[in-house]
Amino acid sequence: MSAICFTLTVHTPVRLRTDYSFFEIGKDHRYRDEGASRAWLEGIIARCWQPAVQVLSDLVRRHEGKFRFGLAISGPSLRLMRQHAPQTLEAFRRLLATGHVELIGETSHHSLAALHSPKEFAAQVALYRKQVKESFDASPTVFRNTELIYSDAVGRLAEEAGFKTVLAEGFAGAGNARSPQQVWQVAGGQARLLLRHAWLSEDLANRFSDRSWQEHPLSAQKYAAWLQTASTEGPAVNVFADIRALGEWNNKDSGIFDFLWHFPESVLGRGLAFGTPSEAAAEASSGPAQVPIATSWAGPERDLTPWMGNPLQDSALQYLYDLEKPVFRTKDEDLIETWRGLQDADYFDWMCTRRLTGGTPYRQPSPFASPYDAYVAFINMLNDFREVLKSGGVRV
Amino acid sequence: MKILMFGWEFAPQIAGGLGTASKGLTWGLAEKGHDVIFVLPHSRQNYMSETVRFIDAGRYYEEQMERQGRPQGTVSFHPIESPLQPYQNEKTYAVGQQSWSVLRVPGHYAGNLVAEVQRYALAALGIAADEDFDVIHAHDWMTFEAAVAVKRATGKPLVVHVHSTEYDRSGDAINWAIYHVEKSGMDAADRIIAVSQRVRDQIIQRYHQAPEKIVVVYNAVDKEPVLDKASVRKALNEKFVLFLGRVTSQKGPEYFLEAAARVLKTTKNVRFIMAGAGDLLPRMIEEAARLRLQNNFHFTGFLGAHERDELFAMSDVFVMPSVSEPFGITPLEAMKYGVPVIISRQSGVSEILPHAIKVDFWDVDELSDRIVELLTKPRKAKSVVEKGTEALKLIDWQFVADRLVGLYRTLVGAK
Repeated sequence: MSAICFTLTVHTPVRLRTDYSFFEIGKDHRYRDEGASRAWLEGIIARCWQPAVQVLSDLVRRHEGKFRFGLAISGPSLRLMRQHAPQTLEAFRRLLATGHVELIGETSHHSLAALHSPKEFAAQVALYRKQVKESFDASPTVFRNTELIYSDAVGRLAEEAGFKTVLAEGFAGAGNARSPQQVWQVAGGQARLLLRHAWLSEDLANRFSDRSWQEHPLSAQKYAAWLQTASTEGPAVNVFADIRALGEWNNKDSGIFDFLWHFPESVLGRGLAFGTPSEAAAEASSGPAQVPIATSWAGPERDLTPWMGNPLQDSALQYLYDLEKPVFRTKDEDLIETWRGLQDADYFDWMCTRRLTGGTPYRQPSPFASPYDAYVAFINMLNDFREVLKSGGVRV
Repeated sequence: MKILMFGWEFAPQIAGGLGTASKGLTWGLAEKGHDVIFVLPHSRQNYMSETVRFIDAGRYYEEQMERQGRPQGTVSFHPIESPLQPYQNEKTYAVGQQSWSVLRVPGHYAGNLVAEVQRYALAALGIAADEDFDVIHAHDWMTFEAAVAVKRATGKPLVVHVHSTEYDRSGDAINWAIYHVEKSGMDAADRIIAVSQRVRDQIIQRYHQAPEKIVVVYNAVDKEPVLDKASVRKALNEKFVLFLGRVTSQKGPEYFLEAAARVLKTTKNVRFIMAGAGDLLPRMIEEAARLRLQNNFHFTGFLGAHERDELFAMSDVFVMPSVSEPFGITPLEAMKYGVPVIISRQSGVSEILPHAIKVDFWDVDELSDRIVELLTKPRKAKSVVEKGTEALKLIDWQFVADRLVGLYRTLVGAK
């Protein structure tokens, strides 16, 4: 029987200081804007995470486990909640403790390490495992790389890190023409690959509130009918959404929570079943999926251009990962953590200049006035950080 | 002598050298006991002297509107198509308002300049009717229409002071409306002051003014540095090479960047700092990133007076690679802090610094060689600084004030 594999991702980055000027270099080693990070966290919790988790918890209870899904919580949001919102972290923990929600593994710092340093990638996966073991007593076997960035190489890294299943983008134009309803295998490996059904996923994220969309308003019944149609093409329909579809991008007046409330019963009423990613991946594989060029779930091209490829992004990423060897020479856990704290993919997204001419918004709202400000401040921080390393006697 | 002066900015609230020069020559006149009424579009000056008064034209205009409606008298305006910012052009990047930005260009040059210039001129007529003065002195084109109107209304002699021309700011792609305002002001003036021989030549050739009407009066610099160099803490144990100015094509920032890339190939422990903002800044940031200069090249955005002084005090070499610089006060400010300077031959200030290191702005090889020389040969740097200090002795706002007063006397006496 075909499974509806529904997953939600939860992420908010630590905000960096927008006022980190040239004059701070060598003098001030604080890069995080604690106040702004906390304010953003509290805002997103109030508008989205808290009401969404409340409805999801009620639904899991109401359907006695028939409504089941996957949940990915980013490392930065995990740590921010520990610091500023323990009650929200507890709500997530209770949701996971029902046994009907599967925690999905990530990197510990919402980073692009998979593309820049296999060693750092492995370290961040291990770190994430340790943190979710502590917070949720969870041991994830499913992996979802930052922003659903995937390639054959990323798949193999995830498999080497011990994951049995990897999530990836299934958009037809994103370097593949294979059906996202089939279960695939990592090329050159054994791990299963679940591909996101881009169209159905983005109905929730991008179109639900769009009054000019011909399907607006979208009812749970109608959506369930679409899922049923899609399910005839393979064993799994993978709807991977950002939790911000529930309360942020579609605000509470959009009817999204009403939609969510009726979503499970509409799906189950059609004889369809929900499955967690592990359950969906247990279906027979249709063979290896070759993805030589990395894909993601972002932007019209579903590629890496939101984070890489312009001179600002490439310069910043090069500098950041050039500091990897020196920072590990210090053997100083705090310095290593500071360096990791600068790896969030959003920091490079905020340097994307294509947005200036319109197009898709930033994945996360940028605190910077422009991509140039994001770059200049970030480079100032790295220069300061290099001074800190030097003053510790490390050759950089 | 009582001088009614029309200006657009006044240090320390400045976007460029115009405000620095306005302050310098006004204070020079004040110290010699002359009365100056200085009209600004928006005055935020909170200091006064016995002989200098500031008038906020914006506020004056509002008050007059309240009292009696539209100010009396007529001013003829040349219609000027936007954008008109003297130090900005239309491609200036639109910056979000939410946080500090490296791209921010100081506020009083943004906004609706057409309205600002017209309101300024209307207020000027009212101010002129209220005040008693011997001579009118106007700084740069934004004030020319106001000053010409006052001359017509009062018959008092007019001096227009050209700190830069449209050709300096825009190359050959000039805004003809601004050119026209500049030329009308010069035509109506009794005397034209050029801040360098270079500007005088331009005025003769491009604005068709009679050579005998034009006087060259070089700018100067305050005698003492604001900060004690020894008290400024430099957190980085590296040499700093500084560019400080508007990041526009007039100032040649790309030559500084290219020279930096060359120097960094051979020289260690040096950082390059591009201080300032302007329409070329986004491109400069991208270019520095593309050249992977991120470890040694920095952008500060527009700086306030204190940070400027700090940077001068911390720097080891100052570079002014201007493509077209009517004068250029910043090298003098750097020299005041004992910093060796490299200036482009295409600058007015080079006319009064016979011993300074000069390069053609486009000669990036020469520029990078000279930077390396100053960084690596302390004796050379020391001798450049010594010659600079010697030259500064002859550069003084008091001398400028003497020249101005002499000029005013010939005009007032002629009446």
